[in-house]
Amino acid sequence: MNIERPFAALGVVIYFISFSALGAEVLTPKAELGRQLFFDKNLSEPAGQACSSCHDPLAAFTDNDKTQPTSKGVDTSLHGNRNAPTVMYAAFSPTFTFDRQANLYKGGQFWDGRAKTLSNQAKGPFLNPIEMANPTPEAVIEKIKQSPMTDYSTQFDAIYGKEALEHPAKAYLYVADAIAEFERSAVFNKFTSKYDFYLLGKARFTDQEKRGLLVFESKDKGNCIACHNSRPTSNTPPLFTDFSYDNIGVPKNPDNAFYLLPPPFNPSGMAFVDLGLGGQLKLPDQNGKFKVPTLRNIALTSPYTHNGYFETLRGVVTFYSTRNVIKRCTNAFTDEKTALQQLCWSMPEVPENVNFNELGNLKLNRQDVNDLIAFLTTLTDGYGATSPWSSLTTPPSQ
Amino acid sequence: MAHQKHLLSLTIAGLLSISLSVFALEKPKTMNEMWKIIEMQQKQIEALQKNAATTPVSQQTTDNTSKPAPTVATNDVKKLERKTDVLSQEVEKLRTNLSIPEEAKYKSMYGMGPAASKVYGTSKGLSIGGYGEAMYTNYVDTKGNQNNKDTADLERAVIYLGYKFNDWIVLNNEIEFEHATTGEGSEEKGEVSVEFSQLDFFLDQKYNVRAGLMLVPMGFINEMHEPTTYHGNHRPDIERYIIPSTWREMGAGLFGEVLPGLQYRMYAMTGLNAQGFSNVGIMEGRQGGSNAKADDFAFTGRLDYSPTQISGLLFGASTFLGNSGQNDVAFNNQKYNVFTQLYEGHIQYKYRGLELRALGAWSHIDDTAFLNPNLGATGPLGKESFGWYVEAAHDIMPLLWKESDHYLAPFFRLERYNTLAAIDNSSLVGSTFDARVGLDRWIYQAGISYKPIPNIVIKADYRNINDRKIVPMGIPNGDEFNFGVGFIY
Repeated sequence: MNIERPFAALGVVIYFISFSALGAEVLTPKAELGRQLFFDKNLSEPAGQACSSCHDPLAAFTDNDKTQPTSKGVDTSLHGNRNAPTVMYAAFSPTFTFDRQANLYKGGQFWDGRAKTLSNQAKGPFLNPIEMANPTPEAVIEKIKQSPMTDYSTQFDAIYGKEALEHPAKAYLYVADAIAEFERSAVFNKFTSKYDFYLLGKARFTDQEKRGLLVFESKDKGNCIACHNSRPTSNTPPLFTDFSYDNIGVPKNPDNAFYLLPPPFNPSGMAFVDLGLGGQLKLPDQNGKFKVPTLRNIALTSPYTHNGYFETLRGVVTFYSTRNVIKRCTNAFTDEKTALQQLCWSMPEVPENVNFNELGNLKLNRQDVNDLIAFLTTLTDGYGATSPWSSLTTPPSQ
Repeated sequence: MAHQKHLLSLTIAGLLSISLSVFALEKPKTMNEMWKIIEMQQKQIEALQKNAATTPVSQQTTDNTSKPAPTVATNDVKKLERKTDVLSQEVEKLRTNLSIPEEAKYKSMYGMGPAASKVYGTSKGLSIGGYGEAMYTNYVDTKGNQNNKDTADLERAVIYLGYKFNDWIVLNNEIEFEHATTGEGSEEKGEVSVEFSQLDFFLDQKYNVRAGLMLVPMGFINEMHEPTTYHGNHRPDIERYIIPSTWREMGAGLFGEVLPGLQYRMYAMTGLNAQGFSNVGIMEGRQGGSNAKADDFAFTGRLDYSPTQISGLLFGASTFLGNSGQNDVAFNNQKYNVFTQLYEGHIQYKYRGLELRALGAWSHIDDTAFLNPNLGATGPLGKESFGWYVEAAHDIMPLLWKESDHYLAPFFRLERYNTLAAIDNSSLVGSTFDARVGLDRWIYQAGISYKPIPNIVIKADYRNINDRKIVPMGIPNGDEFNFGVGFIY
């Protein structure tokens, strides 16, 4: 991983530079406004943090600081409790809903679905006391109006009507709307991975990648396809998530700096338990469930899972394969590296509602794991410059 | 699709009109009818006996010369009594036959296997039959594939339940238990399926109607897959991957014998489901009447000729044509029909213990360029596939032991097939799809079939498989020795 990373990063840099040269022309005026807001570090309290601070294009719109499992706030002594998820392909997540037929919650944004839509999500981090820490929406709008670098007013007025920034409550909705529009653009929805080209006959997989895809889809092997859809639908390329929620039994992450935060932020201290969807809905039978993330760009988006417990793909794949099989670590706060050395896994952070049906004992041998990782690395965007899927790559507008 | 629906309705309408001119077959004597006859005969006997008792007196008074009369009467009585006895025995037989048939006839009829044909031979009511096959497979050469594990398997246990409603309507069912269990968890290996459930309406030798869940009438094996009817423990690969078996769909159609020795079957059926196609062929596109998608229908037909001049010769051909998209194959928001064609020709010759068989099949699937992206790890699939096999066997028992009625036949089979004979050169992407994974094989198989009685077969065979592509996961590819037993009843 360590050897591969600089190369992967270099590829992304080159790709991003090429995007920067062309991207501004491609974006609609609203998405362009969203882009400026997304990267503007003057919109936090104090200035210094933008959306892009934790959703960095260099790491497929996750946090590029890999030294910590969760992201630093604008006050760098503070840390969020969860690993920043990728914004890529988030626009395809349907509105949060309960699917009666499947008896499952689906869609929405954030790890726990607390924002129903993309634009609702964009309203959150500006006001999150650990993240951009603005006290109110009015404070955000004021910063936009006073921006020293960008003339936002003209753009807002052109897009949303005259004096668009004069009503802060409405203007805050416009801010979220513009950011969501940017997130719906091709910047976040590239569909240019080797797998996309492979499916359409434009790229050849190596034998190992081919085997990895089989392990991924095979019911008696990985069966990853059960939640991470690797097949296209009639109107989208494969998204590698079904947007459902699951408790895969991830242990507590001793490296999560959130445990050490003082009471206003973390009253429970080391006893903190993240209940995920269950906490959000106040439904105990949903405790411990988190949204199934897309696996597109997975090689760039470490660490993995809601609390960033896994630093490596090998670790998370091994966990899926052996969770039920190998012994329990005696210490509930055992990190991934130690657990892999001791051949044990700590107890799940939330022991209820753990999915035992689809994972935990995949019986993957060493070659299967290597093959699977080889396949997962084909999901990184940038294999080709433009998506081979033509019109299917536009997310639905919500 | 609309054309096929039209065809289906035409077929049904045509058949209904034919049914008006029902040609009733000769009715068998039922128990009730027999009882009536017996009662009548009993009365006749009594009348004759009375007659015999009174006749001598009258004869003496009327005509002294007519002496033979009493003898004639006694003979009549005896004759009638014998008749009554025979009839009573017949009735008894019929009663017993309800539970244990005295002697079932195992003769293939209307395209079905010998045991599956039993119901056609019954007089009325229920008929029970079945078959089973169990085998041990030993991988002599696993070729480094961990899937090639030795197995002992009760591969199939099958029950035929037929019901003859009257002399022209017959219901025939095959219920199959595969791999001995359908348990949960680690036992979840087998399945129970209705292999066919069809109603036959016998109208005329030339035109009969069949409807329900029916076997696609292609190849040797699909309709006639009872273990005593083919050599080797495993069915020929071509009749698994190129022509799927056991392949059945919902539908209706006609069958009959138009000229002596010239038989046909033609059905309109639910089409295949292209979402199940893969680099091993169309096999998993079978719908099997299980909530089958019925947006697309298909036509299937078969013609077989057994010339009366050349005993033991049979040759014929069959086809399956229809869209498989089922309104579900879409790319860039455009739907594709995935028109699927499968053709097959076969010939069989049996002469004094010599058995020769040959079969060839070819398929073509449209729109695979748009279907392939939907298949993930199981694709891409072939735009064309082909397969053929030749087989020779000889019953050598008469040479070894003249008096024996056992059967002992060594056989040899050569198979060649390729599920990716041609792969799409997509206009969409301008390059061909990757054709490295699929079944592109030569198989050399030799073995022996031994039948102590025609209903039971013991088989041993060796298969040498030569792959020319990467074998898809889950498909065994080792050289194998198989030993098994099969039976029909």
